[in-house]
Amino acid sequence: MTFPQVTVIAVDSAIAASLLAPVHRMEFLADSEIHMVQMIQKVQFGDGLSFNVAFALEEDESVIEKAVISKMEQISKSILPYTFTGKIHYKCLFGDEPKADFCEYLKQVKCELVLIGSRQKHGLFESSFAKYVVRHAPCSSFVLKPREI
Amino acid sequence: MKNLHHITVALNFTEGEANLQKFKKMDFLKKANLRLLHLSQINDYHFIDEVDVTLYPAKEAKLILEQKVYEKLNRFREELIRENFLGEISCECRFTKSPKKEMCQDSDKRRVDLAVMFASDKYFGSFIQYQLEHSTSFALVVKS
Repeated sequence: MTFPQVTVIAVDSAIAASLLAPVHRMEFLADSEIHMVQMIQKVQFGDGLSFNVAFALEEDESVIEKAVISKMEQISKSILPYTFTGKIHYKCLFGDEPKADFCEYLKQVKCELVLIGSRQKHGLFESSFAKYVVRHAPCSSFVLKPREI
Repeated sequence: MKNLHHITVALNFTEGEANLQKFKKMDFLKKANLRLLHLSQINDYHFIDEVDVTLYPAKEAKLILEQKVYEKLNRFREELIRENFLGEISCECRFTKSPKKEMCQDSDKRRVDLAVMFASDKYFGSFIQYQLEHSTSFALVVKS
């Protein structure tokens, strides 16, 4: 099997379809095991002792997860390579530290290539998520920018 | 791959062998035209009157350095050819005051499809960071 065997695509479902459009033509991903992952930040309110509320609420997580996965399935139809025959997994992960949790996920699945979009032509690092991932990912990173190939 | 035709590969040789091994795995680049680019920094030292400027490397040293770099680039190129990289592979060594700006301007000017850079596992320097922040081309950061 050729490189990359496991590919993780970082998804922000609000903008992913346009930003990740070039993936459609990346035929080298056709046999890869692809994980489309969206991170959702959990925000904690409270003093940590008596009154703690975390958003998203636990009971809402499954609803959010379902909606996000459904959106990712839609997006995948327009971004997966034409010749794609590999496996695809959709993950919606909740975490206090999305960036670190995402990198941890890359380790868990033994990711060989992570694809990540940056929103603007200039200033990737306005997105601290992308900055963090490129720096801390245990694998090679492919950074997509809003431009036609 | 159909869409990644023109690719610039920035090489610094500090982890040359590891870079080469990692790069060889990138089957999807085997049909692309690759430009192996090494950017050497020129430092200028201004003296008090700011008239006298010393450049480092000086002319003679620059020639020797350039020769060495081309030797290394050609060796890298030959290894890639041996690994069935079928596109055109060219080598270029440039001297510049600011390698990161030069790389960025170069890839934007040539509208390269992909800029490949190498980083060690846990660290990448300002060169990669600058490219990611300022260039409009896609970037592949390969970790050794």
